[in-house]
Amino acid sequence: MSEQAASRRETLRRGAFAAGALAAGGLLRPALAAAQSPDDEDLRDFLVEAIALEQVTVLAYSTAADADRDSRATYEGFRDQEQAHANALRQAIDGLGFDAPDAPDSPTDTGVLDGVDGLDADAVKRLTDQLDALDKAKTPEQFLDLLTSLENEQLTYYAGQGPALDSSDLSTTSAEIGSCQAQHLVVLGQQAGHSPGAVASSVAATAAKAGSDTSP
Amino acid sequence: MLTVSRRGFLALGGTGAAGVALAACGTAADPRADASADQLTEAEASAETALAAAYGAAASALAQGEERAALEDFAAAAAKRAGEFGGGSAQAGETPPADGGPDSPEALDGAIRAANKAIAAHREAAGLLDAVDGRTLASSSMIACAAELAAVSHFAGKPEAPLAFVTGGTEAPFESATETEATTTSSTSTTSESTSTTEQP
Repeated sequence: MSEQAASRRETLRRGAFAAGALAAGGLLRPALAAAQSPDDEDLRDFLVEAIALEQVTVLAYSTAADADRDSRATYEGFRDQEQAHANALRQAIDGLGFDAPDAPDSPTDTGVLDGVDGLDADAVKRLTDQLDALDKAKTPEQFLDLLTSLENEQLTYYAGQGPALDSSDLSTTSAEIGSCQAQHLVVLGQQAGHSPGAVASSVAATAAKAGSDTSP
Repeated sequence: MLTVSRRGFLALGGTGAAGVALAACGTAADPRADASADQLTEAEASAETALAAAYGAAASALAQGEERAALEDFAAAAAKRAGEFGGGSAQAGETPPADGGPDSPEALDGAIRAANKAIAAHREAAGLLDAVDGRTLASSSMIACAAELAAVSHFAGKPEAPLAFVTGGTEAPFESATETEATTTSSTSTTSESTSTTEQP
């Protein structure tokens, strides 16, 4: 690992990322990009899939908000929270000197998932399938099912992948975002006719299973 | 163009002000190497024990029904989580008093406060514990508490999911992002979240 890459990674790992490391990363990006280390790629891989998933979810909430007037306010609020997640994660990957995937501008814009460094074929297929489901969704119930599926996928991802990251900041942020997705699921579950208590217990079980499935 | 907002800087500085200080001096120690696993885990256990008591008090304050049953389930779940962290002692003020306890709004507020405290304890451990399995348990427990918090907030007539980043604490590491990248087809292209505190009301 080069000295520059080691230093940048230590900055992220030690929690010093918050205060200007991103700005410095932006200024130094051309040099750092050439010095990326294999270890950095672990963090990149986590971030790339998280960003792609967040951005697909943003599009899904936007589309659902236009299609379901009764749920518009809720969906727009959740869309903004998903966008806040995507923004934060994009800054993290930029600080590492890697490229983030572009956000899809429509359900058929699957090309944004092609050739993205760090995004494996399985993830591309899952995300493409979600975009395809979004393209086909017409009724409020179909949108609700799709949003619930996306939120569950995110919850599983953050609960399963976040703890193993070699960055205290990213592990913490992953838990914060996963907790937000859990709260979204409680609201979506109520819209589907379930009691909030039952949904909360189900969400807790999903998080626990995701953690145990990926724990070393 | 991606707009770099202060929110993004601080959102990933899990230690908030501490992270700023560390970066400023440039001599940050590895937070995981320096953290005390025993203290972090004990804090999680104590917070979950207090949360179980708070859920129990809230259940007692409610009439029979779906909400009471949910709170009883949450109390059992919190007690189970406390056991997974090695048990813990209830904190003063969280145990129902002998005079019949608080009325239901007070009891639900108490449960919300206790849930936020548990989330804060798990959040710290999720980032700082050196062992992956410890961070995994902290993370899943935090998510469970957040889901329960959403349900209890619903019972109390409060917003279930007001924050993009759930921290459980009073620290405010995130500032409202008013400039974001327009990445959707929606006519709305700004983040409208307007929270100024990270503790869920």
